[in-house]
Formats: sequence, C-alpha cells, structure tokens
Amino acid sequence: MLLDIIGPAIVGPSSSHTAGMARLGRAFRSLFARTPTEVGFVLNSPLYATFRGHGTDRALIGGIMGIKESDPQLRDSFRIAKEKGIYFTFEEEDMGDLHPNTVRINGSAGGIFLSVTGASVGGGSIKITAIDDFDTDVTGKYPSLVILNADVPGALSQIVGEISSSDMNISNLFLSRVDPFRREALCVVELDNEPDARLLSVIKRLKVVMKVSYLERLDSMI
Amino acid sequence: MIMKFEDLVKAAKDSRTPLDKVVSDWYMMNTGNDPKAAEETAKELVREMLGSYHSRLDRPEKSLTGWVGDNDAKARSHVPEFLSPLVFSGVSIALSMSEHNASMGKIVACPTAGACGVVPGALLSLHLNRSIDLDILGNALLVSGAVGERIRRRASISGAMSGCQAEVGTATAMASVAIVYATHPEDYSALENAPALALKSLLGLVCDPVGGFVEIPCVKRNAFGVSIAFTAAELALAGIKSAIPFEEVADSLGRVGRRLPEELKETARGGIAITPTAKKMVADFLGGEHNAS
Repeated sequence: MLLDIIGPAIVGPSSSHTAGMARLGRAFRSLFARTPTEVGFVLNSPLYATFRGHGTDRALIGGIMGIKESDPQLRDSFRIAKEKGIYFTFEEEDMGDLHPNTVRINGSAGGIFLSVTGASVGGGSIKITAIDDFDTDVTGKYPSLVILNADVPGALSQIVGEISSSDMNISNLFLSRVDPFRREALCVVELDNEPDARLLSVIKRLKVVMKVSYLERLDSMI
Repeated sequence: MIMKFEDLVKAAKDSRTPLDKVVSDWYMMNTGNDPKAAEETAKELVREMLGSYHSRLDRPEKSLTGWVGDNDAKARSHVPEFLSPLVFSGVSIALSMSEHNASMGKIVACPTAGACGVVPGALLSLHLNRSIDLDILGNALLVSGAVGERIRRRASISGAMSGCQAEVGTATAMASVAIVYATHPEDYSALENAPALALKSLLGLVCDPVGGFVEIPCVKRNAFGVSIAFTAAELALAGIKSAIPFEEVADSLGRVGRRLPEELKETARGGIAITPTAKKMVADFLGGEHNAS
C-alpha cells in the first residue's frame, strides 16, 4: 500500500537481493534466539548467479548478526562477522520450482541447530517457507509465535487461552497438521503487539506444546 | 476503497481540500491506519533522502563491481550548457542516489531500490535550488505515492514482472506529479496530466541490467527519468493534456509488461546485457573474483 511505494529506507542495491536477504538473516536470528557460531547459506541457483554483485552475501551475514536492512554497517558485515568469530559458507543448489530468490540458512551454536528456509518475494518483503522440516508461510509483518504442538483435541484452545489471558490480540492464526504419525501440528500466531517473555514461557510450559519460537516483526519504513 | 488517481484529484478540487490530505484519508480508508502517521512517514522519508544524498557526498564509494561510482562527481563539477541549473541539479542528484545504492549506501526505495534516484532528484533539486520546504516536499511525496500505488494496482512496479517501464517509468510518473504538487498544488489539470505524459514516454522500456546488477543501465536511466519528469511537469503546466488518461496508460504498462519476453525482464538475457561489451565486463568481474579468492 501507499507507504511501501514511497519507501522503505534501505541499504541498496536491490530490495529483493539485499534488503530482503538481510530480513531473512534477521528472521533466522530471531527464531534461533541467539547468534550462530557456524552458518551455511544454501542459495537457489538464480540467486547464487548474482549474489556477490548484489551484496546478498553481506546482507545475509549482517542479518544473522541482527544488522537491519536500513543500517549502512551491512556493507562491512564480513569484517564484523570475522571479529565475532562467526564461520560461514555459501553454496549453490538447484531448488527446482521454489521461488528463484530462496535461501536455506543452516546455523548452529553450542550444539543447537536450526534450519530456516525463506524467499525474498519483492520490495524487501519475505516469506519463511520452512523451519527445520516443517513447511510454513510466515511473513514477519507481525510479531509471530511459531509453535509445534501435539495434534490432540483442545491443544489450540489452550494456546489461544494463554494468549488472550495475557490481553494480547491475535491478528492472524494458522494451524496445520504436519506429521500424522508423530501427531504433531504447527501453529503460527501473528499478534498485534510484541509478546512479553512471561507469555512465551507460559506457552512453552503447556503440556501440549513441544517447541515455541518467536519471530520478531521484521518490516519497518525507516 | 478503489479510487482512480483522477478521482482523488477531483475529490480535492470539489471539496477544496489539499490533495495530500485526500491521499492520506484514502490511505486510512484502505488500511485503517492513522492518516497522520502516513503524513509523518512521508516527511521523514524526504529527510532520509536528503540524508542519503549528504552521506553520498561525504563518502563516495565505487559500486560492488566497480563499474559505476564516479558519474555523479563528474556531473557536479560540470556547468550545464543546455539544461536549466534546476533540472541539471536533479539529474546529478539522481546519479548520486543511484550510485549510492549501487555501493550499498542507504537509500529510499521509491518505488524500488533500482529506481531510487528519480523522485529524490526531483524533490531535492527543488529544495536545494528553490528552497522549497521539506514538509511541503513530504506532502508532494505522499501525492506521488498515490500515483505509484495506482500503477502497482493496475500493472506492476517490478522490473522482473514488467520491465524497466514499471520501475524508472513509475518513478518518473511519481516525480512529475511531485514537481507539480510542490510548486502548483491547485493546478488540478496539470496534476492529472503530468504522470500520464511522463509514463507514456517510457512505455515499453525493458529491464536489461548487465550481469543482473543494479548498475548498467540503471544508474543513468534514473538520471534521464528526472529530465523526463521535469519535461512532463512543464508540458502539463503549459496546459497540454495527455489524450490518454493516466489510469489507461497504467493499464497499458501492465499489458505491455505481460507481452515482454522474459529475456527483457531483469534476467540479464537480453537487451544491452548480451552485447559483446557487457559479456566481457561480466567475465572480467567474475574472473577477478576467482583470482581474489
């Protein structure tokens, strides 16, 4: 809408190959809730073909460290990553029918591992299409809870109950069965406002919940 | 709520309300968001544009490939022989913003990063040469956003979808209306006609970036966009009308964009991107990278 046309203020040269990539890096960092010490970026072939001339590599690394797409430090992200002792690699993969600008980010720190796949879909907007083995459809336009829960009656109502009792308003809600054999479902809750740490830990402690990740709101105009 | 750009202009005229207020109310009706916030954001974005221009002047860098980076300095040290100082300053600012973008500087993607030079070229040249207040330029930017939004709705603002006509073309139409609004906010006929005249002159422009990078021909096309925006504004202020109304020109952009082959839509597989010179530049750049690593 209107404001996306006259902005945002971002580091160039390309909203989809640079700004969107920094956002994907930030999405990984937010979901991982820490800075990875080792990270591998797997780029879809069309993206890999031009990644250096677009600063895609610097944007991804910057995003992993929490540098925003509007922060000129993005240009120096390699140096900053070296200083922080982050080890990173870039690889190419033909991802077939996936969006041309798709990247898979595999990161680890202290024995914990996370894989996030996402695409930069234009104008700096992104879509997270998979977290570990689970398919998702998250945009980062809202503060979002990504919850892996037991596929049992009442699971959703317990989760939603905790959210409403902390006075939060849900903007959008998605629930899908991800594994009928392990009886797992993935619930994505997009909120109007940022949840506090208390709400996250309450949901984490629910018996029906296996895992909670938090994706901060990623888009901003300036 | 669906409103054509000409409807917005008509609403401003009939209700004797400034067009930027009509646009921010239209924004509220479509999104439910505070119209004041939109006005403030537009004003902040104009200040961001001025800030990026100053950063560029303080620290001019070469682009990531090294192919562009010194055009703006050449333009700045040249005394224009044919263009007016105002228009040439706009052209030179557009080069600065686009070269800043190509060197990973912070710019305002208006409407995209690839076309980020045109609207600031128009707005900042009015600020620097005519001392037009930044808040007034913020209002003009908001009005230009309505033009861009209508093109996005009826066609596209993406080079990959519709070619460069959708990027530099849209930016030029936006800049033309911003120039008219910042200087003659109640010339309703000129407000309606400037973006139609500007967009028509760039219909069919292909997206053929050398190596796929936002450098050649993007940087210089931004500069030409500013000169076309001033020409369109001048013609519209002379009372010259576009025979085809703006919204129908925007439809045409969408239709032309759909008929353009993939080779001419940001894939670097057509246009100037496959000339012998372009191929050699790309080979040298990629070869240099291998040697470096």
